[in-house]
Amino acid sequence: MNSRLDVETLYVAHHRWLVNWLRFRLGRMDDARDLAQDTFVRVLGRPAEIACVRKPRTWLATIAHGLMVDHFRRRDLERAYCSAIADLPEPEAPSMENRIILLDILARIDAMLYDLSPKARHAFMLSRIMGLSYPEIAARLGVSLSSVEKYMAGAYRHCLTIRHELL
Amino acid sequence: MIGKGAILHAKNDPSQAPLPEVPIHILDQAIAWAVKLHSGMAKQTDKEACAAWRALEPLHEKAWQYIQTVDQQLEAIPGDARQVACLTLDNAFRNRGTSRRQVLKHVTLAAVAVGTGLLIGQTPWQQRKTFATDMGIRRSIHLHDGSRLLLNSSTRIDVIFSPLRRTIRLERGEVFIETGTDSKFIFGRRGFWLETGHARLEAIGTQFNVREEINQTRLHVVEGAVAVQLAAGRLIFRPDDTVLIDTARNSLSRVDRQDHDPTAWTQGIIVARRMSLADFAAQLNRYHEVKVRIAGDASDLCVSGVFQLDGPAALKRTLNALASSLAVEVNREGDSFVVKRCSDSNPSGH
Repeated sequence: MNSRLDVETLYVAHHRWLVNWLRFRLGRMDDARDLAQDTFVRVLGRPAEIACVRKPRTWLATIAHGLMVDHFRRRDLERAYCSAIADLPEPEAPSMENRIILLDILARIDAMLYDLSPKARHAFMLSRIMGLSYPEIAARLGVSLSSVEKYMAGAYRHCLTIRHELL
Repeated sequence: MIGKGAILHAKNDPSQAPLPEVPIHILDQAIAWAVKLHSGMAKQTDKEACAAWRALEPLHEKAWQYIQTVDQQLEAIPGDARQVACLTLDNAFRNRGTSRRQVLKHVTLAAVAVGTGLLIGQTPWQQRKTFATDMGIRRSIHLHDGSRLLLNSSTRIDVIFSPLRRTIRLERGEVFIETGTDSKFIFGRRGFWLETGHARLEAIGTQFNVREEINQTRLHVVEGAVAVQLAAGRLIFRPDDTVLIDTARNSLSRVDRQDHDPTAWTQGIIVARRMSLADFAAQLNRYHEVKVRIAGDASDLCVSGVFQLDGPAALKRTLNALASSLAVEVNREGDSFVVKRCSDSNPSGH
């Protein structure tokens, strides 16, 4: 492959290939086109990296894969949201525009808490979202107070790491 | 070269998270402060000590600011959406498992599943449901937390289970409750609350009976303990306690002499012990479409005995029993029965 690339040549040479690559994985042409487009938008933001890419398809596939993971996570979250509000009475379910705002907020939290152990995640959610005290959390999870503190510290460390990685 | 930033979910080792410019041991101190301040038990002196620590060195403050970026993500959730947020996040985590490996597998599988519309199973712990009975009907209900409810005649309840508590709202009528252990719930055992128009009760591993009356709520504890929430605090009641509650008027009174067995209805009977005829008729009228009226001077006569509630002729038999044990006569007038003293009787009676 060329030793120096720019977005244009990259697009012309690999866009069709990327759409096919994505369609094979997503099963839908429109989703594949959208994600291919998003991939090139990402690429546009990194002119310096383009210049030294040696295996453009591997590089594009890596970016596309990251976007695909985000895409599925978001879809998971939307479904999880639908089942969460399914049993709420009408006035308690958030309005349409609030849903979108809430889902954006939750997508960031979801990415942040992702991969945390379930107990640490529950402790962290009960503390930082529901506002429970540690003794209440300990009683709820059936663990000691010191375990709750350990979960909280672990959760903070995890979130900081993830956030830094995403910055 | 592979673009580093593209690997959004690259492996990371929390123990060596190299946040820019802040050494890991300072970050750990900042985390320890955050953990302490969010405990719900932090004192003013803890807050001051934390502030002092932050002021000690610019790196401390920097580490603290990093922690704030995490808290800000969670604080962005609007107050009234917290419950929905928790349910959504937890549904999402449960539905896709917790390991990254599983998500990668999920991505591959999803390629196949797209278009078929994967359905997400209903979580068993979010629920709001109404149960009701018509006059003369009793109904037994088992809830997924293990609780068993028995609704008496003409009763209506709402069952509202959230991530933080189990609530039964008694709109009208009477319910007998045996609370479940809630052992399958993901966040651990939740409190069990019963609310009526007049009272808020918290069950503490228990069996109890609650009847909603016109001006008050009648609580009877069979087993365990029930806490009654009042403006001034809470009062705990134990087995065999019967209390009348009206929170709005801040009134609570203990019933010392029971004129009937408060839970006999669960067996389909009324057990009366020197119950006034007027009160007895009021009880009967909860179960039968045909009403019983007590004429004037008969209302202070006393009734004792066991009376069946069920069966087509139950009311007729009860009234016959009254007529034979008390000096009363029973006559049908329109769509009701009228009970009055026999004109030549003396005013005693069991």
